[in-house]
Amino acid sequence: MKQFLIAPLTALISLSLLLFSSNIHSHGGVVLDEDICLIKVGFFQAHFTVFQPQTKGHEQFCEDLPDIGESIFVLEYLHDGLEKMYVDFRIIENLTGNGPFTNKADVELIDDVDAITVFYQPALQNPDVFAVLHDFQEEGEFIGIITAKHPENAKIYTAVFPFEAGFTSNDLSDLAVLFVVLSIFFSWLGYLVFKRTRSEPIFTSLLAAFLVASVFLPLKATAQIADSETITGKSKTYLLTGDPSIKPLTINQIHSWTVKLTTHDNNLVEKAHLTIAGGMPLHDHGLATQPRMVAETGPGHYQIDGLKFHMRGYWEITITVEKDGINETLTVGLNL
Amino acid sequence: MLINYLVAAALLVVGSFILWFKFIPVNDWSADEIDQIDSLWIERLSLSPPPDRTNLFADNHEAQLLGLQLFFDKRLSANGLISCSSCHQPNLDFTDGQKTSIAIGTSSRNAPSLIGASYSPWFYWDGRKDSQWSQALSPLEDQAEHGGNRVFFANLIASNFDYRKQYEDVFGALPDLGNKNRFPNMIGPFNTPENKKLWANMLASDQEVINTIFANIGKALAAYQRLLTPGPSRFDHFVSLRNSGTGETADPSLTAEESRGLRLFIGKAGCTNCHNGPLFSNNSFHNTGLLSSPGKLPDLGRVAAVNKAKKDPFNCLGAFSNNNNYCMELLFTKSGKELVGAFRTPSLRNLKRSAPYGHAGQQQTLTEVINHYDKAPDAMIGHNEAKPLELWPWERWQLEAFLESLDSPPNIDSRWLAPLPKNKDE
Repeated sequence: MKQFLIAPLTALISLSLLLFSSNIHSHGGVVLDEDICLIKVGFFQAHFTVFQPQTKGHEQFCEDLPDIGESIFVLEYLHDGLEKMYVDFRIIENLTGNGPFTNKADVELIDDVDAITVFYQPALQNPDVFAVLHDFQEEGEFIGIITAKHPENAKIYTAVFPFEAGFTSNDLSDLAVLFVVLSIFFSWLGYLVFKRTRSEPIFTSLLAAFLVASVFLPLKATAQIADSETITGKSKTYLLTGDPSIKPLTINQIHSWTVKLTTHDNNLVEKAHLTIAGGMPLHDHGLATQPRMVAETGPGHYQIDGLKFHMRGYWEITITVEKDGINETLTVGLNL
Repeated sequence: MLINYLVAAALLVVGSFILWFKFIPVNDWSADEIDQIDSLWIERLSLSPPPDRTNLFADNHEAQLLGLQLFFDKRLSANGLISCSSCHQPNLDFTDGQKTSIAIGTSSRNAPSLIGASYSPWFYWDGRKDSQWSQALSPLEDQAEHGGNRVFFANLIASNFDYRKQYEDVFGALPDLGNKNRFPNMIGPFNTPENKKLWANMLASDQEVINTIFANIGKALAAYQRLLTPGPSRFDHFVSLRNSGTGETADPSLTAEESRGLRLFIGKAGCTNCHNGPLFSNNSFHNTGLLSSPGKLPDLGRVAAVNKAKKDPFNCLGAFSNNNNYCMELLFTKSGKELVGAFRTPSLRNLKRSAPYGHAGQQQTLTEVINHYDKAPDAMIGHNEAKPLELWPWERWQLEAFLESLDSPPNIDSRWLAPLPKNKDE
């Protein structure tokens, strides 16, 4: 590598490391694990994120908050256990003197927790998402305390995490570092381009010609024409053909399928139970509805209700056939 | 010498960019693109909304007229100042221009346009209602909206000569509500402790009498709202010309910018994943990572609405539905964590007069909306289904230009856009 490249590259790499490393830290019950902020309440885990939507938009914080004001703490349970528990959330002033190293033992020593409580959300049982909002009036050091109470055995699990609200130091230093990194990067880039241009004056003209040409020669989009008229699926034992209640099969309409289930040697399969799932593999999402088999309408003929496709494109419907205690899954591909 | 080259090259690049951007429309649509475009055409929308079998009077002319009267009538509120049209104003495509609606109180959501609403199987941003007539009942009793109660509304119909006649012409004779021991006067919203107590003390058969009248008020309001359908936009004109073969050489109804925006809309930007079909909506529920409103927790959306819809006494399967046999949407609806923070896809045919956008009016302009989808930030709760688009700035401009070409003036006779001459008792 040419010598003139080494110095700016080293500076660039080391400074960007410095820039990003300032975001990696953890203390108390909250840990940043591969960019995901987790809180451990006893042995239960939850995603933990704090937002300051009015000042920081979509930016996420794991514990320390840059601003005072409206802050929304969101817990999304990773463990089914927490969904059934009564979870409460308390924020107290951190007067322990231990700052970011405050732990559960320090909190247990506090005599009157209520006196230094700035926010309290009484216990809620919420299977979906646990969110609380506190409007911090002043900057300072705080401790968050989350307790989860088991509804039956009354066991209590606790998480304690110290944090600051309204700190500003990191922001400024981050900006300064970013400025330095960018100016080095751009002067280096400028130098390279300058050198290039001097040695090859035709370069920019070629680039311009290429740009102009590319404008007038748009690439053709690849066409994929849908064929949605046939519903068929195959597995080791079974063959399935389906007949939709709406023809042509279109998006956004709830409808039914009557499916005929046979073995490979064309014998009707009776008294089976079908379970339906599916989605769009390319979009990584499921169906908009929960279709179910509602009846065996005739020998080997089954009615499935509640099918609906809410996007155009490739869908896969998986039908699990349960017959005499043995499950086998068929996949029906559909281009809508 | 070098400077001259550079300046010439720069001028050439900028010049050809402007030429391309402003004057060269897409003229090499692929078969798949043409198929996509055709699926968005207004001609692919049935002329009248799909039948609502739960409402026998959905397309009854007398019911439409009664609904029109009720829609604009401020007496249908606790303070005599609020009508449906307070938040669904005809000149704003039946929205109110507010972030979240202001009636007797302030609502937590943005007033959606009613144009084309009847085509959806679900109502409200979170779909907590499964029919338009059932939806129409909730604002009437909501303390932040009309702030009234069903006994009050039934009495209003019964005591007004014109309303009584109109009602009876459609729904049959009104029972006598004069006995105040059986039908006590209720003041204010239905769910106050006093009103709940009065209601609980009524005979079940009398409750049913009131609920039937109340449901019929909703059915008349729905019959009227089913008339609010969208008309063709410039985009539809463009598709018409193409489909008739006359648009092959020149597309006067879409500018170069708009046609490039259309290509992005159905392609790279992935908008038709949700904004599909002739109403530009799949009427399904998606989390797109919008921020919470000031002072509010993030809205749970659909996940909290599924059970409300299922338990609603005025739903498809309930006693006041005229047909319980076509309730597949309600019976097979999905629930669960995928629906945390999910809201119904809005139509894009009424963007010009329906700002601000989003379930709580979080976004003031289309530029903000497009920038949001371009970045697709992580959602505060749940999971943002959108992926970052990384569009070039001019691509965002093209997309916005295309969205503006979708403006569809309502396809409604003007007599349905204002109240009839006043009732004489008013």
